[in-house]
Amino acid sequence: MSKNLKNNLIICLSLLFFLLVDLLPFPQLVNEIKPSFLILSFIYWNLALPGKINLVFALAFGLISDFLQGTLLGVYPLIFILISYFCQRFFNQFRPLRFIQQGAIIFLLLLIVKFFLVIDFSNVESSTLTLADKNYVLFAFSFAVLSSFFWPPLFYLLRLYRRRWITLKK
Amino acid sequence: MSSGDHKVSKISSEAIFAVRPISSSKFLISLIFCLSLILVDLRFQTSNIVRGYVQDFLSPLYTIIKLPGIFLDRIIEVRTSKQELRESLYKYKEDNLKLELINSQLKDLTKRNQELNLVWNTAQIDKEAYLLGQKRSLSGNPLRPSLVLDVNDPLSIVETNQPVLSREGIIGKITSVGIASVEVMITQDPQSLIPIISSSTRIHGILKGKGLERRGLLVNVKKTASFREGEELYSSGLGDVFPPNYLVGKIIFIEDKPDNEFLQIEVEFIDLPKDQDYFLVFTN
Repeated sequence: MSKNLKNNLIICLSLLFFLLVDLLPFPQLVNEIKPSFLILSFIYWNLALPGKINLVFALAFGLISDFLQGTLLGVYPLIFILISYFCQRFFNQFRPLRFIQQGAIIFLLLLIVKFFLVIDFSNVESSTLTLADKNYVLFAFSFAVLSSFFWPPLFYLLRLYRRRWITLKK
Repeated sequence: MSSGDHKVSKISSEAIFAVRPISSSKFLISLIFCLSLILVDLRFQTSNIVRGYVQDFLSPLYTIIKLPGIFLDRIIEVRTSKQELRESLYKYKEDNLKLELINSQLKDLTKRNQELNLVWNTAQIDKEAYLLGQKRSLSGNPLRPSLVLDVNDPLSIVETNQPVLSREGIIGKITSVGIASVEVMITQDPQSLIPIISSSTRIHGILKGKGLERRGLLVNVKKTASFREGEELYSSGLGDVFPPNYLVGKIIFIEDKPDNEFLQIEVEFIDLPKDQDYFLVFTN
């Protein structure tokens, strides 16, 4: 097996693992605020190995997420592609930041994602552009805060995993 | 590229500025592709054709999630040999579910019969018209909840738009059918609209979902309508999607805002799907 293929498989495995973690059933309240580990791990891989993660990952995992979450087809791939692009474009600036600064960026990014997910594409509410209500806004903030809290441990965990399993050309 | 010429990443050992981000053209093409997917799905609902089959394909993922629970269950089962008990319990549960559902329908029918002096023969209750479905998953997105059921349907009688019922009443309708699984749009979905009739005042209306664990709304109800708080709402059968006389929810709050042309009537839906594992698909 070539080194490149092996690395891609290892990245895929970690993303698949976090996809399963996101799927674990919890009470509705926890479901609404629990961090999206798939998105966080996707951000990590884009920052750590920008040359290895391509748009195929974004499209494949985006489509799977669409089917699992019941969203319109194309919504999650769009989110993953945008995340991928911005992470790879700015990874040089992002990496040297402190965790608290990285957390702030993750907070904003995931807040935008959460609000993007409830855009009223089907025009269910003719008066507004979004389906979000007060509760949703509150939960979206909690979700983004929790995600930014989980970022450092996830970062270290994935870094350990990467150093253990992924070998790059010298 | 030697490390002496360039700043080298400690992580990947590559020259930092030699790592190219995704090219703009690839990014644009992918963006256009995703937007086209969204537009096509919005316009033609193409994903509904494949969602059921994709759920079949993705069913191993749900099995993997359940593995720790299954493993624990197995250990307990081996120790107490409750396999037989579970089978009989499943059978009784199925019968019980059907009977409770029929009971709920009868409750409203009885009321109507008293009022309209109808005869019992009008109630056509057929046990065979129901197919049992087991809950596989309920998506976490509260404003786009989708319920996936495992359905054993050897005769392929399950179709889209067939109503799905819980032990108390209507829970949603099928939006996509696969080989062994179906996707259900539940009544709490903001896209869901159900024609209803109130239990005591017998007024018709349309009930709209507002998201999981959120109250539904009766839409476009004129201020002269005499709905009452606490009144139960049953499906009216108009539109021929949902069968009549099944419980849908209960009015819990009515507000007459001076700046609103219509009454604001909030409705609590019947049991949320997260509390239940078995549902019935009404196939007639």
